Amino acid sequence: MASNNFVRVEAVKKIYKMGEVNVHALNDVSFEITEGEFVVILGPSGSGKSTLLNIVGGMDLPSEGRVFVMGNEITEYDERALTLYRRNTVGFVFQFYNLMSNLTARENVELATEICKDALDIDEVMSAVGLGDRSGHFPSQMSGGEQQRVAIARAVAKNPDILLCDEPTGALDFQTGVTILDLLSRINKDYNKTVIVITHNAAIAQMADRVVKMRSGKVIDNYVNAHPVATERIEW
Amino acid sequence: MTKLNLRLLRTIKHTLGQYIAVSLVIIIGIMSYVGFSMAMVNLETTVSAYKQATNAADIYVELNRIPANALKFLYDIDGIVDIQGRVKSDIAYTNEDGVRGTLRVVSVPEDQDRAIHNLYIREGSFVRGNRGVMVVQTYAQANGIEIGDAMDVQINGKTYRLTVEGIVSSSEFVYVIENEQTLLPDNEKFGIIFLEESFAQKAFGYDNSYNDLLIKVEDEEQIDGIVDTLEKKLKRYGASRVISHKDQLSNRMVEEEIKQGKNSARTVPFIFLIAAAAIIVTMITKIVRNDRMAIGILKAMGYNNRQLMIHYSMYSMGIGVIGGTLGIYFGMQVAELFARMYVEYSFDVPMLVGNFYIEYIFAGMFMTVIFCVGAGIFGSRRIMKIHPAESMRPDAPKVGRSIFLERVRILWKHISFSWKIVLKNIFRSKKRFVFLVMGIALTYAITVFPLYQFVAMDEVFLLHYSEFQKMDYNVNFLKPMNEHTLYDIKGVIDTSDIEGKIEFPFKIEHKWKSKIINIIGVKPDTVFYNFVDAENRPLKVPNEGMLLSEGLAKIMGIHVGDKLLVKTFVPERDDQWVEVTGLVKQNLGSNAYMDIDYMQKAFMDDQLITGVYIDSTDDVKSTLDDMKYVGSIQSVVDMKEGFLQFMDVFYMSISLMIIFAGILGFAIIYNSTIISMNERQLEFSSLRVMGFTKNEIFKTVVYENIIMTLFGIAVGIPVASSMLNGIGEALTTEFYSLNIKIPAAIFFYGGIITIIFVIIAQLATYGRLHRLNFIDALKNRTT
Ligand SMILES: Nc1ncnc2c1ncn2[C@@H]1O[C@H](COP(=O)(O)OP(=O)(O)O)[C@@H](O)[C@H]1O
Ligand SMILES: [Mg+2]
Repeated sequence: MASNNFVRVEAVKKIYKMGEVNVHALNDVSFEITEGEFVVILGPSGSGKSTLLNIVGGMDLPSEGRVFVMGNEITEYDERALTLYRRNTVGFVFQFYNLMSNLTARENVELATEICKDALDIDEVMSAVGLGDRSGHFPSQMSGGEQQRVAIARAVAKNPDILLCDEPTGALDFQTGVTILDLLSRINKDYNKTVIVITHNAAIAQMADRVVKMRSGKVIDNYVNAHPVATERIEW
Repeated sequence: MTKLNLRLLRTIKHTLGQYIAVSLVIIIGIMSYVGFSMAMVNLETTVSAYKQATNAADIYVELNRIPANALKFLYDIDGIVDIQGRVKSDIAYTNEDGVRGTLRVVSVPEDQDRAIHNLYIREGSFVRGNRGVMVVQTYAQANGIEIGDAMDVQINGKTYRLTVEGIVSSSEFVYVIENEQTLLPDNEKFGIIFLEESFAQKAFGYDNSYNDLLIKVEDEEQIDGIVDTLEKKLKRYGASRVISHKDQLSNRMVEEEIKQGKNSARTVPFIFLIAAAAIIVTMITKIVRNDRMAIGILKAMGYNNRQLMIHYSMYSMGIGVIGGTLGIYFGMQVAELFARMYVEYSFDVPMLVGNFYIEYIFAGMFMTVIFCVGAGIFGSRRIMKIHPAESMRPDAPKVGRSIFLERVRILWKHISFSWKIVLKNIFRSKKRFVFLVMGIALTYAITVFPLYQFVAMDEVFLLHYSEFQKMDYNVNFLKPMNEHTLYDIKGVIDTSDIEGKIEFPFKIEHKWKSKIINIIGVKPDTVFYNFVDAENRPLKVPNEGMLLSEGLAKIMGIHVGDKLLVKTFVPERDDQWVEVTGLVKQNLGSNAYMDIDYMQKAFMDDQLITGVYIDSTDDVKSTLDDMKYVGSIQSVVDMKEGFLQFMDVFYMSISLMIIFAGILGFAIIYNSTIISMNERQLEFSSLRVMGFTKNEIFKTVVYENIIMTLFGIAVGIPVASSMLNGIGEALTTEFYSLNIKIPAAIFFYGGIITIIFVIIAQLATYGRLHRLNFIDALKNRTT
């Protein structure tokens, strides 16, 4: 049964102190996400999307406010609990893939699964991302799209409850970007993972179950998309 | 293997050159620690076991003549358990090649099993009856003497044909040198031969009597008391030296040698380990800095600080494991080699205790762990500060700072673009600059050190034998003679200068310290000595009182104006208090100097001399050899030759030290250059895009390192010179003092050698630059 407050963000503020100036990266942000949703967080550059994702991902703490994930208040966690949370509950996909250059595709995935509780079968995940035959290749031998697939495999293989993707198509050409989004959507469906994708590209919102719109550190809209569109049918 | 470890292994493979370079520095450090320490302990154990096994004497006595039946009265002295009378005398001897030298003839009792200092027979057998001789193996080896060979020796004007029956070693002569002034063994020209007692007594005219005693005591503690008693009791027999085994020449030299070895074991390794630790810290700091994003990602994946610190520290632990294991392994080999070299070349010891000391292995491991793991943890400490969220952010742009030279507008305008790159990079990071300059300075200092040792030895000999002592020949009579002997000698050789001298042992006492030294009596206007003080001001022997060599004064805490008790061994003469009127700069040996007239009146007999100094172009040796009262003839030329021979052995240890310095310099330059190249990949790529060739880029790196090297040498000069002054001070013993002016040339040569090391390291980085993938650097988004 899908709980309707799988992720709950409550009045989160994040203030960066830059010398004299205070940057309000997040200014009283609240919203909820239901389990199994494909969420798109949409907003222009500098609107605080990454800051929000970092906090939800347990990589950063808010200045004020609380974040609950599966009923646990992660904003209460200490360093140790946060590490375990990152290890077992969330998986990250970055804009610049950020693979370890001296490990092969498969080894990059194993690097993540080695420290978590119940990882998925790596071969299976590798074929799921369409890289069954490229496992032994090093990042430098792969294209950007392929590298991002490895990064997704790395995040998924950990068998996390939530997949957090910060502009996963930002560094890719259009066509490749579409296939990556398609892959994320399939993972959302096939593995039943809650997926949160950050983007500044409004078109991507068409495929989301839920859209959270941000501007200047605030949520300006948060709605459920009654008719998500399949990736290949998105109108760009 | 975990993927994290796999990643580490690949990183190591990728930086293998740097890795090996640092490991070598660790290997040198641990090897020299384990090697030196074990060798020295084994040497010490060996020598004492050897002495134990051969029943070494506790007290040595030299006297004029004592009847054999007087020995039994000495047993009345409490604590004496054994006494052995001997006949001991130096004779001149010309070897088969016509080289003149000196043999010390020592008699041995028939009953070897009960003898004090019983001989170790290396070849042949113990002498039986007349005309047999045993030769100390150092001399036999240097002169190619074998069992069955004949030696024609002249004793008291009579020639005896002796047959070599044994090649032997004696624990009394572990370090075979003629006297304190000789300092270095000259095995071709000086050796010991052993004759059967009754034969020696007859030949030297000591029927039923002796001129030398070996004494064993019950308890080591009693020795000093017994020495005092013996001095008094034996005065009527003309005792000239009564010394404890601690003061015996060979023992002192051996002890000094071991002490210096131990000092090296305590200092040299740490220089290398500290340097290696500094290199490791720099390397890991850089790796961590470059891996900032990777560390963020690993943290985002759920790796914690401890796992990551271990990951990066493992890099240096690997160095520790390789360096420590190989260092300990080589150290054990080298220990054996060192000890063997000592017992076979420096010393004459027929055995070697090759004990294995687990504590040095443990200490070596412990040191490796402390230095490598410590450096690893220290170098990776920044990991703690890296935030997982950093992985999300693209690299913060580097803060471009202008260097001070840029502010000197006029100058900056006229510098070419390449030089601007060079200068900017030099001043880019203060830490790097300091690290490199210190590293080069250290390399430089380590290079200069052996050069200094080399030059200093040379200088010491030169100073001693041409500036301080100016005679061509130093002739000692077998017994004191009347001054008229001078005219006899003048009659047979053409001399440009000749003076009579007295050289006689006395015991000097100052406060609770005492020492037996030769006091030399010379004419106040002697042409054979150039006495100067530490500030090079000329000194004259006083009408009354004496001059003392500086090194001795330092060791005994004597100052100008102090009065010393001079204890005489001359029968019917009293001990006297004598004032020290000046301290003489003397690089080799320790002596006191008096006006010969004063010395004769106060301590000897009028008109007696014990030898002469001669300047002459005649073949003094062959002429004087035939005179029966002439004991030894030392020629300065011989001394210098002996020294040069010794220098050959010296070359090896010097080269080794220079190689060590070279490896260190290489490691420092190579590693920092590679690190810098990796960091600057992007910059180099832009330069390539701008049309620079790889060689042009390489040239900027070379210029940069040359400038750093010059800085390093500039810092190294004062570092090295203060280090050398300290070492000169520390190495000043009663045997020699290194208070010489440090020759400027070594600084120059040290610089050249350092630059050569730097160039070699530089060439090694050339291939690396060529392999740098510039395109990758530009599009690189992997970490
Ligand atoms: N570590 C930081 N220090 C200071 N300011 C920051 C930091 N991270 C983000 N910011 C600021 O917070 C705001 C939101 O940034 P970010 O969350 O990265 O936006 P987005 O991902 O939507 O582009 C921006 O103004 C940014 O400059
Ligand atoms: Mg962002």
